Amino acid sequence: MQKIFFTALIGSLISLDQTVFLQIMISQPIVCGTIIGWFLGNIQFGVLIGILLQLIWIKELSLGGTIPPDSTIATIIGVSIPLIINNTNSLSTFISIIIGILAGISSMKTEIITRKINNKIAQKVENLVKMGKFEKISIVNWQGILIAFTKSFLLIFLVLIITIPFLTKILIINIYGIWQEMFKIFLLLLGLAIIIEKFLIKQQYIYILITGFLFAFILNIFNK
Amino acid sequence: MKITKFDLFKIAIRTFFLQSCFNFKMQNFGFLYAITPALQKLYEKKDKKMAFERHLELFNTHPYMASLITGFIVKLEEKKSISGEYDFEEISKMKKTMCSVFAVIGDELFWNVLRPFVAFISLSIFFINFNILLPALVFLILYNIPHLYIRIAGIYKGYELNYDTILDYIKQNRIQNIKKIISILSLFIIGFLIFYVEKITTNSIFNLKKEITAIFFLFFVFGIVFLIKKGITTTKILVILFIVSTILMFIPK
Repeated sequence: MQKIFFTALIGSLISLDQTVFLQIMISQPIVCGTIIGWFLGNIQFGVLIGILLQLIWIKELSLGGTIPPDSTIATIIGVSIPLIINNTNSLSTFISIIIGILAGISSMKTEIITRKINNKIAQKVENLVKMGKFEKISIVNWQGILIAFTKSFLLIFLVLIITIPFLTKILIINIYGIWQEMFKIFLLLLGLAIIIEKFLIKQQYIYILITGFLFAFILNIFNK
Repeated sequence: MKITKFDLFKIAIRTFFLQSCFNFKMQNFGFLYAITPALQKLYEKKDKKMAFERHLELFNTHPYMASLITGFIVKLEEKKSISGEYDFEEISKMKKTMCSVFAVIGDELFWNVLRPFVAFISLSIFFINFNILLPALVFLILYNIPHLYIRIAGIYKGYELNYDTILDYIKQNRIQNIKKIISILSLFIIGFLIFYVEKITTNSIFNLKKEITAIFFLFFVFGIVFLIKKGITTTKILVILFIVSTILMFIPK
């Protein structure tokens, strides 16, 4: 319970960085995965899931007023579930990532509600301006931050508190064999393919990719 | 009253809150919050109220590039407070044009080019070094040097330059060149990374030579790119990969 509470607290503070405050990119999967992994005692797992989700999410862009699925919430949940239930095998990782992605989509949907609330705050600001109470604008500004924080906190907390007792029971299946690592590799290769598709602005650029591969190949031979 | 460099610095810090109350008029409140110290300093009572009301209109641009527009508007407000000259319609039009131009440039430069590129660099470090803290640190440092520069220096630049020179400040064609260079570099790095993909596992998956496994992964990636190009969604591919890896999981080696 304590772990869930503090994960939700740290997670909601990190998620403020996404749009509300700073935007220095601590909310990016690669960074927030590392932070949550560190907090829950397995940085390596956090970094790995962060990198995988960073790759998968690379195509999603927050352009103009559009709201993409929330990659921060997805990463926080994807990293924290396996670490809280102390089970980081492929099945557990996959289910956590799926729950994370669904939570990320829910966060995107609830963003519309947040904007409606913010609209009321903006209306309040307009009234304050009309009344000449300019110094109160700064205080009202914090209400927007508080709303975004509360939204993320509730979402992370509720998802973790509901899913963890359930997943602890169903994910005790004893999976053996080295193949459990396969899913991580598949995810990584999928992520790389998504980026290739994004940056392959010209067909002939494929030779540059092959050159990079051959460079690593030759380097490996020399390092033997 | 004149706006000092310290006033501009205060405004630059406030631009970090530009989207704290993102509403249907987008960042209008964030923009007003950012320029509040300038308006408070420049105007007295009635004029102050009018100045605040002027900036309640819709404001929507890239959050980092907003600094240039903010600096520019602060200078216009300063001029207005000294000489009284201020064509509201004209300024509003300029503001909207700058917002649209900088939104396109910022989205392309920061979201579409810099962020994925810095992610690759961090990823490469993870693969080459397998250091667990370095990727996040490198990501934050490399990304935030240009980000913080444009956020802080942008206010001063916007305050110094005039309307036309601001629009010339970042040329669209220059960004296209940056995108081309970054695409080439990224593809080279990806090619390099594919060779080291197996490194993320604790043991070798196949009883094959490292080079053979790498070539298999290269063709596997080409296969996925082909499927994506054919219009198959990444979610579908993800589910297929999960099913395959789950079946493989239960097969003893």
